[in-house]
Amino acid sequence: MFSLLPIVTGILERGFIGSFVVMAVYLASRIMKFDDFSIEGTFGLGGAVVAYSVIHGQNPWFALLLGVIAGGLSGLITGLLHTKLGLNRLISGIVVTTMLFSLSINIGGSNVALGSVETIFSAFNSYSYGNLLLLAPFSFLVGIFYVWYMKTESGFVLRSTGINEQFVTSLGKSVPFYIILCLVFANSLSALAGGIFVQYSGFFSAFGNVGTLIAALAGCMIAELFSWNMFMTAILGSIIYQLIIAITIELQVEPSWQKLITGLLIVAILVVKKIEGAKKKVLKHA
Amino acid sequence: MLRLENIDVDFGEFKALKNVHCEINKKEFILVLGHNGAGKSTIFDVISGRRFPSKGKIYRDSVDITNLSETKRALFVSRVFQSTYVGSVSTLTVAENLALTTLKGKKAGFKSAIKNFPEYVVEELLKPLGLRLENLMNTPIGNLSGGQRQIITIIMSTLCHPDVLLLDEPTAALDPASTENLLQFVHNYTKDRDMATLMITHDEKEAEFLCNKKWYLDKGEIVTR
Repeated sequence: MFSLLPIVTGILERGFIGSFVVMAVYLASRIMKFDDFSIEGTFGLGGAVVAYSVIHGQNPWFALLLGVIAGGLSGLITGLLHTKLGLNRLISGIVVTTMLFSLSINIGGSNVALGSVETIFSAFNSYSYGNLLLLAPFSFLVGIFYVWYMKTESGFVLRSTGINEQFVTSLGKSVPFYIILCLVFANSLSALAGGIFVQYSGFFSAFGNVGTLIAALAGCMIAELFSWNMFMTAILGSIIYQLIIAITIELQVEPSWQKLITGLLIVAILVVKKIEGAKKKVLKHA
Repeated sequence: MLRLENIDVDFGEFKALKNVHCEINKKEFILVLGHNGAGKSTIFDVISGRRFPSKGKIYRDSVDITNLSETKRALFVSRVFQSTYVGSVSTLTVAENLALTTLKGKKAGFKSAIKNFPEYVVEELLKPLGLRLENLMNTPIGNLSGGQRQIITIIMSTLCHPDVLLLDEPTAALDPASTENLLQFVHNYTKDRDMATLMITHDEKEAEFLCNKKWYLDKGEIVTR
């Protein structure tokens, strides 16, 4: 029992941090139908900017804000590459992520430990479950913000852009603007997660972001198995994903297999959905 | 109201429109007729700003709007496509779609979108139709039949009082009964309005009662007016 508690706490903590990336994937891939690979790069960039800033004495919250802005700007560039220069959506994301790798390594270094600098978690260190006290409300607040935003006029147009671009044009609204806005949101969220993760782990690695997108996609697909509001289930999906990874670690599976396991998890969810879909079809025709 | 002067549209060697010159005035109902490839949809593309002409000018009253984008022209030109899927957002409810439409020409801000739902549409436009569409307000519009969806789309397209309504084969995806309903609806709905309506159709006889003018297009030219 005593050894289980820190494991559960760790799962929840990483789940809450990952939930921001799951929300980012949901925004880009599901709402805008824009599979944005730059989400992977902005997780690293957010981490690099935060690592550099806190090591150079910036306030950790201000550092996080800088990371989020950097992420948002990267989303803007992905959006501009697609909407203004006509680059394919997937390639736009890959180009930006590749460029961000150089940027991240030059800003944050290849491997950097934060040492004993002040982080956003410092103020919560004296509480038991201090990290969760910060992460859980933060994650829910961001989720609630997007639940609210999607019901606003601007949110309605953004959602409509992903479903029917011609309709949005007919409304006299700019489709490129809403695509870019969505990518700015998504990449800000990913950078936010990257920035928090660096402060949580006390370490920045230029390769730390590899596999973030696929992990978030797995979280997103788990979340979609529940039929509640996606910005809320994103948190649950992310936690369940972390739980699955934790189980594989407990089963003594080498961490080097994690990416393969994540990929297989995605395949498994797709197979389950396909079987469910076929069952429903049979019932409908019966 | 809208004037097209010497419009050419070239697709490489092929001329989709050749020296088209025409005027569209208030309250007119124009049937646009012709074979496939005659240039009917291209003329709609040029009017709506979806495609810019290779040559010629378009004027709204006396203002040159030839280079005005489709997004900006949407404020005075509304277009209903032949596919019932294009005119609305399938996953949103009928009420949400109607609420969205009221944002045309206004800034999309941070107010709750559904609060813009135009109540008068139910009382003044939907109930008189007798089709019980008013009971479907909270149904996702994608669950409606093609005919119901097309009627809602036409209503949505005209809420902003456009100068010109373009109906691009609005009955193409509908069965005969729904087609008759829709044409009757279009007739009743457009006759007392100030806007001009242009409708592409392949069935001249069926839609003849609607119009007061016809354009026959042949190989990119308007041959009779």
